[in-house]
Amino acid sequence: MQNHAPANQAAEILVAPTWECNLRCKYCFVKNNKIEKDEGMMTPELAVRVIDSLNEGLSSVSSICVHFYGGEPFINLPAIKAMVDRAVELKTGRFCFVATTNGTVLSDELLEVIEKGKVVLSVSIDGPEAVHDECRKKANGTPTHADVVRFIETVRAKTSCHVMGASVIRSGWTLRQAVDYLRTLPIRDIKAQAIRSQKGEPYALTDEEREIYKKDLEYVGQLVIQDLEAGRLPMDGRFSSRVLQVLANTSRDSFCGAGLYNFGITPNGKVYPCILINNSESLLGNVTDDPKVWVEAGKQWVQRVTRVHKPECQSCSSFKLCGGGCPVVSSVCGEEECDLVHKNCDVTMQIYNHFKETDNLEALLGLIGVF
Amino acid sequence: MKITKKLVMKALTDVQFRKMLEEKPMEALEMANIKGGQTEVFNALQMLNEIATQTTKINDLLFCITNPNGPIYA
Repeated sequence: MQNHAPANQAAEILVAPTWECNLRCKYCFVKNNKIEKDEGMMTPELAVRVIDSLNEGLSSVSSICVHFYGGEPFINLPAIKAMVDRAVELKTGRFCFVATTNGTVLSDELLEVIEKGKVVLSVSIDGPEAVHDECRKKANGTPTHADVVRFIETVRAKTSCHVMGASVIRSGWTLRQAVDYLRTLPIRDIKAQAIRSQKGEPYALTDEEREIYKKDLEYVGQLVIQDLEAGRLPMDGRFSSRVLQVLANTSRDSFCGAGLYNFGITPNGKVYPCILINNSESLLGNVTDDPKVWVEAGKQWVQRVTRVHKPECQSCSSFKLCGGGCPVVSSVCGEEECDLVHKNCDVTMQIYNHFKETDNLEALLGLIGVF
Repeated sequence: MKITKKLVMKALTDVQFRKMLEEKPMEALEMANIKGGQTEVFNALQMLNEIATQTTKINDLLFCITNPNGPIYA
């Protein structure tokens, strides 16, 4: 008998303190898909309201992860500082912070803020200098690899913050190359994933490169097995939630918790089911509203959007582990996204079956990092 | 930790055992013939909660990064 996934006790909220960015990355998903709007900077006063609204609206969850996103979130340090200060001041013990950053904005004040908030940093670094700098340049054309390496080293030396490295895999740069590169950096966790773009767009993977990417996912799966067998938490966590899903025999009603446990908040306080879904039909409310407004609107959005699956999903062997795909990315990448999610699910089963066949399923509990 | 893991593995495959572990932990231990105490039960339930949380996360996409080591509270 299959169980349905139990109620989530953790919420993740993507907050964009600004849509502005000091870089002009050629493959930027936010810019290329016109997700950002001209909203300026979130004010510190509104940032405080973000924390208060989440605290009130999500009173039943045990953990609220505020994930700073953008744009480059650290461009608006006053808003980030206001959120961290307010969360610490509330003393709920429920708030934690993550920031997706390009690693080019660094100051003593920033180091103080991230230390105070114990902010987990996901730093974008594609590969060695030549690979990284080809795409990730500042608005004036200056390359950024040296800045990013300095950022990682400084954060590691001067704070206790956890650092992850994140790479975009694009035409001419394979997953295996990126993973091997990231594992040489002074970071604990890595994430390297295929560019999300339409076929034929600049840097999109060719059909042949997509096949290599899928083969490389198996390589990553082998590294996960090696780490678990050695009693280590895998550096690459992309399969973790699904392997645990197989272990716990649960299925997904939807791809993620958008609208229920995941929300996006824009610089002017608008609340959406995800920061990447900000069309007018999906607007749930504003953090200045009574939190019941966006919480209730989120529940209705879920029924309207994420519980309605494509006919082909019903018969898909990966549906139980996939839940119907990310509505944002699927709308951009179409069937190619399905293809990759499908492969992720296949490798998930390879990892699970390896430990089942060796009668060592207990080793999979090593995926739960906090223990 | 060995006993805790044993409890978790059994609770993941046996819904009734899990319920019992939550409601009548000592009886659950006796029924399963597992030598353990309140500490092991507490840790096992914590681990089961963490699994429940992690199984709803999605780590496929760069956009949805969460700390794989679990939350670090401010």
